[in-house]
Amino acid sequence: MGPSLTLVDINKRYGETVAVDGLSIEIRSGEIFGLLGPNGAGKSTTIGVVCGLVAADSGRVLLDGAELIGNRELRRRIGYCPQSLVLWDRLGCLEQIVFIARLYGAGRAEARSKAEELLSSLGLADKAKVHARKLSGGMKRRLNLALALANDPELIVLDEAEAGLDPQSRVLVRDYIRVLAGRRTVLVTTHDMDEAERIADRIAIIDHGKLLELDSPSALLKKYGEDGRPAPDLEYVFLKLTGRRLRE
Amino acid sequence: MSASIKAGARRGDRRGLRSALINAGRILTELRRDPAMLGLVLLLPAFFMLLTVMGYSKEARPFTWKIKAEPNALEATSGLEQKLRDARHGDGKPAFELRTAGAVDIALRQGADRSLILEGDALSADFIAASNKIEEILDSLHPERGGSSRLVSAPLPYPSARSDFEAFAPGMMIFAILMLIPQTAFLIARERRRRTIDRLSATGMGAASYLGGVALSQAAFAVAQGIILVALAALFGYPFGSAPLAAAIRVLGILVLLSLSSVAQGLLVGAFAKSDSSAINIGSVVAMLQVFLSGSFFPMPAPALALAGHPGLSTYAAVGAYDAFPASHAIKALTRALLDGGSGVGVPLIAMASLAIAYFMAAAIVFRRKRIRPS
Repeated sequence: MGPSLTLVDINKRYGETVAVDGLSIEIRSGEIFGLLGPNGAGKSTTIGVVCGLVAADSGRVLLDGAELIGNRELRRRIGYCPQSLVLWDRLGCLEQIVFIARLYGAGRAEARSKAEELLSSLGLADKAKVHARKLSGGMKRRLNLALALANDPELIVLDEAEAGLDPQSRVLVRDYIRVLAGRRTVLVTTHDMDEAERIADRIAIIDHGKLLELDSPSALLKKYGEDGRPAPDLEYVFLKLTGRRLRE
Repeated sequence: MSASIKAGARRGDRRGLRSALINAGRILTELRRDPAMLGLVLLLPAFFMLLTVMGYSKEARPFTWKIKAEPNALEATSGLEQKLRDARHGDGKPAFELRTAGAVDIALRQGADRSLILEGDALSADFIAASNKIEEILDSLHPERGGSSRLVSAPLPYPSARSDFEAFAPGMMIFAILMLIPQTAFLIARERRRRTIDRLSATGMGAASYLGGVALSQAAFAVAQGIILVALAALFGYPFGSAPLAAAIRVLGILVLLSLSSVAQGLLVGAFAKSDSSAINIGSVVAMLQVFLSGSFFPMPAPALALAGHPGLSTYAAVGAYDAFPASHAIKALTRALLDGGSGVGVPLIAMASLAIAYFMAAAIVFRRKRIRPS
């Protein structure tokens, strides 16, 4: 089973701007957890804190009950897929995954085997030697995801991992994430409400760095329905909670 | 410290070194596949050396040696002062310029036993040639005198040179290696812009491992640059002295050490630069400052670090502001290595190594302070 992840009273400011405001969330072992929120809600900052890329002003992050902040060894159990494409232009797909796997401590043969497995799973087997700069946008997205899985992580953090994917690729990635769940815990941020509804076991909706709601998609639909009927979709719930005002 | 903590620390050190090596391999692979960058790294040094041999004369030219003679030394040998003033090179130019103060190539004084002592840098071709000329003058004044003047080795601020090419080739070598400063800064800035540095940080890679990887990869290129520079200098007829292979190896070692300190400066610039272009601009300014103020092409306004002063050359004892530039020490080390035997390169080499470590540590601290990942 994947590890549990607990965020306790996380606070982060950038100057006068409050990015995360006393956020506490408990993500259960082995679940797929969706973190939703409008632009500037604090999703990426929260993920940054979990992955050790952003220093929280205060609060605790626990992985299976052990303090994660400042613990490099624990951090190595996390696989992080950033929102933007973070690839090395002049390295082949296989080389990129082998490189990352080796940084996590894998030997050459082990890293290569893992890379081949990931490329095959994400439909990139025939692109093993192709440099990242020569891949299509969707292929780059899939390679971006593959790099997050190179260390066989127990906690997978996906920041808008499905953005920019065509429907075929999205289904492939979604199915792959489902296969991973259970043995691993998955934390996903997305703007795609349908996707969140399809994939996540539970969803947290945050805005202005605060937790607004946390429950299963079906429970949220039921809770925010009207006249005894459930809400039509998760987007309806989302807009009801966060409002229709455009964000920066 | 408990045994388990010690073992953990050792594991961490090994992992850090392994990460640095893997990262260095990745950077080298990327650079190898980038024709523009590869051309810049490998062809620029060749171009610089070509420019030197084409732009500067290889004709030997005599110098007017600056000499400081104490009054009692001149009085002890009647006619010596006039002979020094009248001495000419083959082309009619004066051989000596008598000075009472300032930097000189050779100093003449009277010893306690009334013997004449010639002071200067025994490794300097200028000093050797000038002292030979003085010996000729003394012989003409006193044919009966036996033996020769006592040579005392002391460092001098000006290297000797026999042609403009020979004078400027070491400076060009330094110029080419200093280009690693903007190049390294650019590499760091590009990794920040592309956020690949975040990806590396997520693997648990620390600042020292990251910077170490960049430094190792750049040092590997610097070895190639050094080999190109030395090989071309030899090809174009640079005289590497009586033991050319040993001198060439010494020069290569100095250039690699300079490259490490240049890379360390590049890391520091990269930590401050907010974009690719600012990394290149700031890095170029830092490099050019050293080109002009290190003594590579023009005499330094203040002398480079010397641990021992000399009574006849008192200005040399001070530590100058330009000692903060590794290039100031590199040009001294190169001059010594190329003159003969390579003795006297120890102090500049130690200074260069110390500066490289200091700049590297400063870069690691800035990386952590500014929370640039990896941290």
